[in-house]
Amino acid sequence: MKRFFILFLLIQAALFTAELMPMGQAWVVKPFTGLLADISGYLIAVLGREIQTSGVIIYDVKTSFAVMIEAGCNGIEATILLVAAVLAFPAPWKNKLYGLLIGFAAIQALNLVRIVSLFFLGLWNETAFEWAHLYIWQALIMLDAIVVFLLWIRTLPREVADEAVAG
Amino acid sequence: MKLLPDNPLGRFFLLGLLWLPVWFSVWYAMAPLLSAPSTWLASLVLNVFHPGLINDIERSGNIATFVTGLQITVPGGPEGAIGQVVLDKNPLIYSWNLPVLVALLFATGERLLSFNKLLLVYLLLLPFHAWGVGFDLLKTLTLDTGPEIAGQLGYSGWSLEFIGLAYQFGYLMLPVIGATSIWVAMNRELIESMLRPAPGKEAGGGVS
Repeated sequence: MKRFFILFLLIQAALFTAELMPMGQAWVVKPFTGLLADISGYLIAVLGREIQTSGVIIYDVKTSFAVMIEAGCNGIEATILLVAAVLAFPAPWKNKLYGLLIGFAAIQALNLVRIVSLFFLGLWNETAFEWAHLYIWQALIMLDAIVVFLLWIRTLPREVADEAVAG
Repeated sequence: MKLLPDNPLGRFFLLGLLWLPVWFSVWYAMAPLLSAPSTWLASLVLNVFHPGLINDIERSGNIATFVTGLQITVPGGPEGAIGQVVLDKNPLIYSWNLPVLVALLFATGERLLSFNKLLLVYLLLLPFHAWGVGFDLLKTLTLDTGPEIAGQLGYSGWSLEFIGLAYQFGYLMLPVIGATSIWVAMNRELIESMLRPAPGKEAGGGVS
């Protein structure tokens, strides 16, 4: 457990620093967040709004309401924490790859729900938007990452999980 | 009719979701009181490194107003006009993990959590909250208000980069790392039992 925790802290610190570097921002964060804005814009349009997206901004044509997807709202940090936890856990690489793919999908799927729901909340009520944005969705994404990680561990071969929790 | 699933993980997840609104409500109602120590601790540490930096903390609802000892030329003001730097901060954006952690503890079966345990959880999270508030203040002073203040505080180059990184870390990562670490440490046996497949089930047989 101690080894896992130290590895987890090191990996997440390295990935987080890489994310904040200019290269990480230019090559990963900005393009990915832009893609997220496009997908969210599409989903919001499907739900009946006339939407324009530009970079990381989603704009409602009728009301002029707009949201900008910033750091913390693109799910990258939650993904980093899950990736660090999966990589630090003593499991076969095949299982780790499986965990990384499923974990990424689970966090980003919920994050799309977060962005779309926040957009509609913002259209409706600023206080509700602030509350959901600053507190509620942070907690739900965290819970999502924890549950995905625990579910992934339960799929590991029994001897691997036993060895890991005993170590 | 069963309200909760037998599967310990499913039970944990559902109970966590149920406890969240309860503890969020309690936390928000008590927020001015609960956030006072973290703002005080942040200003205490800042004053150790920069004596006289924070002169006073005033509160209005959930907003903490930090009155600094720094003076700055008033932008666009009459020549020679000097103003005192005062910063408004919302400490709750660093302490939302407190209700989440308590909800997780209750969801893991700690229904008889004592006041002492709750106090321990709060105290353990306090340094994480103070980190967030402290680096938020430093970031605003050194990176958002221009080079005049950064110069007065003696920061430049890499030290400014570090402040930016520490602020982002405190805002984006620490709330999750702090809460989950404490939760794991306080519930290791329960978590281990949740991770082991139920007796009679084959290993690697998927999620039950």
